[in-house]
Amino acid sequence: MGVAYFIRRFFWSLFVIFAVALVAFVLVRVLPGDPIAAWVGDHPTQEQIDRARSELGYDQPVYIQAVKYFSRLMRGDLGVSLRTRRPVWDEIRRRFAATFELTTFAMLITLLLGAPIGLAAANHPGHWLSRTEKALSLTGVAIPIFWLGMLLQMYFSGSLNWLPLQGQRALPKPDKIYSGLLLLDTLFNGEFDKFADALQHILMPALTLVAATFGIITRTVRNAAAQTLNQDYIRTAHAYGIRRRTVLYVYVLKNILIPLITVSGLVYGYLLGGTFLVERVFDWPGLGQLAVLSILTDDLPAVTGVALVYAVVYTFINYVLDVIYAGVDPRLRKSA
Amino acid sequence: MSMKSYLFLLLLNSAILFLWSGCKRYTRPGDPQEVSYAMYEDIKDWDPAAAFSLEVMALGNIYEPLHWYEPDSAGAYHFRPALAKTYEKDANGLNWTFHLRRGVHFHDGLPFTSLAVKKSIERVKRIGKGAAFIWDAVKNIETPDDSTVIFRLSRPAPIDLIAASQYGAWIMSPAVADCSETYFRWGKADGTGPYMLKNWEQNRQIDLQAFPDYWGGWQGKHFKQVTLKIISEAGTRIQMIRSGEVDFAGLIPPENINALRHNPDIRVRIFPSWRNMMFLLNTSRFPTDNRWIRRALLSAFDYRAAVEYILQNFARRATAPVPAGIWGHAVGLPQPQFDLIKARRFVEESGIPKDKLKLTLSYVASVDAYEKCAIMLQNILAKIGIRLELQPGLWNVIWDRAKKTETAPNMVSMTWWPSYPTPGDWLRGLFHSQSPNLFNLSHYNNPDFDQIVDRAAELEAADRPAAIALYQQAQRILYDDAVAIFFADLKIRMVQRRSVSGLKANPAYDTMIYFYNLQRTEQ
Repeated sequence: MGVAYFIRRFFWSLFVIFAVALVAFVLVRVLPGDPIAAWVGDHPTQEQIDRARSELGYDQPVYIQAVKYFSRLMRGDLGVSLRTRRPVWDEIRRRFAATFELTTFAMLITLLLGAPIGLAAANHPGHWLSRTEKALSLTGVAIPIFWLGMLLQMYFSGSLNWLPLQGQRALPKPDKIYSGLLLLDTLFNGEFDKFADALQHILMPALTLVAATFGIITRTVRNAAAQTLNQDYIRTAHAYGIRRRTVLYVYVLKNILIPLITVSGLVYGYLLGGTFLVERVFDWPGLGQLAVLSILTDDLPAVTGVALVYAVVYTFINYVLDVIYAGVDPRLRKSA
Repeated sequence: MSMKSYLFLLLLNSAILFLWSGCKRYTRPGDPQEVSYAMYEDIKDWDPAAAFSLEVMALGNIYEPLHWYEPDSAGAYHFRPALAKTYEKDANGLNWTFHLRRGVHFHDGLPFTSLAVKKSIERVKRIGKGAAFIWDAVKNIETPDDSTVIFRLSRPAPIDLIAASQYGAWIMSPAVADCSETYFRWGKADGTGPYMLKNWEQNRQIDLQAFPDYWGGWQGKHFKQVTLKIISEAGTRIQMIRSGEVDFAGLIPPENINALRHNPDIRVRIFPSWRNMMFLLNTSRFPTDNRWIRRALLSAFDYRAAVEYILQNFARRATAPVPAGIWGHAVGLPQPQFDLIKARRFVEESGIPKDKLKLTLSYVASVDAYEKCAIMLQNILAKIGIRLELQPGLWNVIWDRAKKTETAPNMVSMTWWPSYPTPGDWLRGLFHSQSPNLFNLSHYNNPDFDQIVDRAAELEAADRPAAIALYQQAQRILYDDAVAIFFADLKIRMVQRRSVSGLKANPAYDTMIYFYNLQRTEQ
């Protein structure tokens, strides 16, 4: 897989992002309703409406709006939020780290729990672990994420008083901010009380997301591992007396990495989508909450901005996964 | 490491993590001198000149108006002095003089003088956002000395009422009055109120701290800290008030209120408000352009079911276009009753064949009460041969369509409240003919009505009893012309912990709690 492939892939990603921006721009303009309503408040005068329309450029022809929108976009300007009257980029920047931290934390838990359990379930079909995995996967996928979040709140916060009900933290911000990720920054600063506080806050929303995606990972790993375990070369390896553990971790694991990486990309996208509901339930100050608030108030620039950021993140994750593919599968390197 | 060992370690780590959390038990940070409130939405605009929504919850504790509007019983009222101790006006209501309180300081240390009043109001007018229109009549503001301010008007206007508005009437430090809107964008505030803005974390929390030099003093058991937590999900707000994580929770859905009533630590408070709910009837579109059809609709609406079952008594039946409790509310209007026989007779009187009786009703889908009322009305109208098509949607879409004659539905949902305490806000804002149309979604055009409410507005400043008489006459006309189904005067629901006392509601500032008056009664 050469450099040309990655350059091609990069430009393809840019095209996807441009397409998302274009679709978002067109969609919000063909939707019925007057977007100015969100800007001017509850009881505006006609003069205030006219002035706002002019200030925001909504009185201009759509093609001029499009040119201005894309030229602003090139400079990283996503416009002004109609709901908060602040630049959309500022709103997104302040919330991005919270969503990234939550989804990445949930993704790590999903992989750390899901992959070994799936592998173990494939290796011991009919074992209690296999049956438990099945039950957990089905339950996790079947339970509505919103409802599960509220159940966890009632139990772990309401009844047991173990975990905080909502929010990202109760203690002040870390003294020094490096990454914007609370868990990392507090750890780097050695502020263990703040680290514990951040960990307590992230557990419930992350577990809610994990429940919804756990089944996808375990199922993928389990099926891929089960198929691989039935391959001739695995039987041959056993026949040669190679240790079972070596067969599992060296031969089987290698072969399930490709489907695992593929599905991880999809799961990350699913987690990003899940933040819309989870952040709402747990008042997690992230992009999902911003998206919900913006949709509910018809804040079109913010909706477009969030859609674009999600598209960029998702495209970037998939681009990185492509690079990882090339690293783990020599066949792909050769074919490219 | 074997698979078993890996899984064992993983489960062990998870167990340690949970046990560690459990042993620690999450302790809710709290302070007996602190009061907290769970808000459902964050501050949109910190600029007191432009804020026109929920901001009042914070701004009303940071800034002060010249005086507060205090309603008595049955629509009577008086003004409680704030930054102005007294005021007077001339006979025609064109010149208003306010005598200001001395010895008051802003949070930035600057003394409060008449210049601050002048700069604050001029800023509101200059920016022209939010409720700036309430000051339209002000031609200029004079400051003959530090403690006197004179408003010179181009036409008579009730400056006493306007100065008590919860929007656009806050007095800010002259040091910030010249700042641009962007200065306030990320949370800046500088008033004379009992609390200073200490910290604002967007979409998370607002911290207010006692202002030591507040002119009202701190001799009582006032709270020294106020924490406003932004909790968008109602379920989470309920959990927080139950657990004691907050002292107050706003906008709890009616269906959850009864469960909270049984909690011995929680008190549910119900206060009257000046918000009313209605379905506006389009007087210019067939078939609701026919008054008999509109009357039929009024008789086909089950007011009792709407108030008692749908709104679960968190409202009372509306008896006039202007809600009860505000001055100018008309009493003794003949009330339409739910009477299907009468409704059927009105339909026959209209002379419109039943196969042409197809109506449309647009309502804001996110408001549960509208939806239930709309479905109820749809079922009732079906019994008298009227087909009602329901069009739920977002407010901005509904409003955009309802303004234009060609796309307006026959009926549209509306909740209204005043920008400052005046019945004119309903009567002129909703039913006066407008070009271009803004909120007259009934498309009501009655020159006699327009003349009466215009005259009443002029008299608000000079002769308020005469204005009241005219406003009441205008409300009778609206009832006679059946321009809307006025069905509910809403009540405010406030859920609070019993350990906090001193809450007194004021419908003129219904989205605000004045935290300075509160205290903790038990520790």
